[in-house]
Amino acid sequence: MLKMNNVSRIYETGTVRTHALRNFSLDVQEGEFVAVTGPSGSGKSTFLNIAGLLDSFQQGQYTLDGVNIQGLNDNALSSLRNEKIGFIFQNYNLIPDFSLYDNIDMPLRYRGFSAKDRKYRIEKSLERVGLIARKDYYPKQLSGGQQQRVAIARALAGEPKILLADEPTGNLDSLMASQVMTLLEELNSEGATIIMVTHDPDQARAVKRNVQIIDGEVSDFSIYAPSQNVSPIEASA
Amino acid sequence: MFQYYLQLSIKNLKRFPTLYGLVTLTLAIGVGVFTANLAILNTMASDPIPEKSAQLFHISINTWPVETNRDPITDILRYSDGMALKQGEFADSTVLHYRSHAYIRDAESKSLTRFSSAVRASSHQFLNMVNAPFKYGSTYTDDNSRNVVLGATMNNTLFAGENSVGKTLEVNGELYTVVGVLDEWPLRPMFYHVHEGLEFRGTEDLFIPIETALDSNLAATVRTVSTDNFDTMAETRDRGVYYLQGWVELTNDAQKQRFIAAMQGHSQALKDAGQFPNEIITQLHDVNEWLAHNEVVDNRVAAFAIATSLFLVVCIFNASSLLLARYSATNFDTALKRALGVSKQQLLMQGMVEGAVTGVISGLISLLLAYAFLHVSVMLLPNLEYVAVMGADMLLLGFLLALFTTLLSSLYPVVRSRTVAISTELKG
Repeated sequence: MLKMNNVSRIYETGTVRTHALRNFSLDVQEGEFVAVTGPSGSGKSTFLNIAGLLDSFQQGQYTLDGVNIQGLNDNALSSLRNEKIGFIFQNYNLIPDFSLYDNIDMPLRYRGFSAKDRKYRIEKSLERVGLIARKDYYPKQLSGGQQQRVAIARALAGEPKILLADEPTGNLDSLMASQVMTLLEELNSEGATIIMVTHDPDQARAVKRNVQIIDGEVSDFSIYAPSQNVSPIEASA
Repeated sequence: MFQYYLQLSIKNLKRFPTLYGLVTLTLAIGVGVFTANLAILNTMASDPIPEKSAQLFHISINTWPVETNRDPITDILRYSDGMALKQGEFADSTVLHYRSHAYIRDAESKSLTRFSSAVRASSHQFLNMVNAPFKYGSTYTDDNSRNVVLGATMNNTLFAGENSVGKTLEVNGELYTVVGVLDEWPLRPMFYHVHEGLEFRGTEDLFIPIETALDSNLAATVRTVSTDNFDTMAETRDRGVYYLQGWVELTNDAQKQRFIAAMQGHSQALKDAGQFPNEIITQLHDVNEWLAHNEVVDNRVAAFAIATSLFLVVCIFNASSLLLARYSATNFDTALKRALGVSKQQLLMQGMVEGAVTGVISGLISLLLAYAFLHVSVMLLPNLEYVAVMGADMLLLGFLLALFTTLLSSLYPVVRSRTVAISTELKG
């Protein structure tokens, strides 16, 4: 599903060169739930940005659902992002002036779905996260946990190949965090491929695979919850 | 997708009402002032008779009978010179005319009120030559007849706009018969007489045969230069009095060369007879050449047009910087859209649709302002009354200009907004 091979990302500021990712390799199979952990500044965000096609890299190869993304122009990358990736952000990132319905509708509009198809997808995804009754609400009328569920519904509505979650429970209290994690686990059990960046070792432990990034490299990996269906992580520094 | 872009645009306009209000007002003022000035310039510089402006020529000829080093008088003619060229039949149609003034009334009216009227005394071919639009009847056919043609405004005044053909007019105490009534004739500029500021005063109230006008002693109310004394206009027929405008219709180059040769022949004949000691100068200017030669476009208006165009540029820059602020305020939205798969191209389209919506509003306001500026211009400078007009072409131009300038103002802010650092904005 997602395959990175010796990917390097270097940021240059004046004479300072920072290796955000250094020969980073990772292979994520369809249906996996991978937790990416590591200290601040280790390269987790850079990995997630590259995985989400929001950032470029200087070396290596990256294939997403069989598509080699090297050399693709902005239109092609945007299209891939829209069709194959669902983002779940720490800050939920809902547009405050849009209703829940319109927030979920926005990426579907750009994808060119018909009105009927969009309505079906929006209602189905809101139903899945238990917020269909509040489709006309605005984000500020919801709790943090509910907003994150809307963000998950937005990510699900396009039926992406992979969900990228950037500390999805980082802004939530433990109860709401637990509800969101349960939802993600349910989605994974239904077949969704999920990569989640987290600082929380308990959450990392709860998922099937764990990748640790230190100084832009995969330093080690652990499988907190071994599963027969999960392939071993292929990682190299 | 366009419909969605439109929905988002209207949403954004509602979201930033003050900012968009300033943008539309800034551009509307710039475009409005520019369009108003352009309308005046356009009227001044327009071809008043495009269907035959290349066939009508003003006659300029030097026949000054006294030796002089001063600039020769060539643009007005003596009766004798004009008639020599007219009666020689060197062209199908040659006309002489001059501006006069009279007090007129409906001779059959019980009211004795006489109306001050601008009069054009002309050869009978004149009105057809300049394509004057007739509402009723036709022109006079004899330069000695007592038939006249009424302008639309005076016909409205005297006969309430009714068909007055056959009615009797009293002109300075003498009786004339109306044979034709003109329709509205907004000739701008009035190319057949561009001196004495008459080019933008409107066409005359009354047209009268030239010989009859001379015999009736209708005085020339325009520049008159003479080498002889005269007491009546009839005496100007054989005296050195320069006051007539001469125009000729020539449909091809051969006719033009033939007429120039006739003018030169006339000058040479005068010289040979010892009546003309100066340099022979014979010129024909077609309508547009004649307007340019007489600098009908006021240089001050042209200079003001440059100033207003620079003002418009300043307005565009101001609007652009306001829009930069607007797009900076929505960096989060842009970053989110990018993350969710909206391409830079789609963002550009969205921005341009938003610019177009703003441009339509700006265009409508700018047209209202342009009208207001024209109105103020006429109030401050009454001479502009016949020039300060805005036709459908200028309305369309003003609207499209507002649309274009708004899109231009939006372009840089939109393009710049697309380069937002996605992850930084979304992390914030």
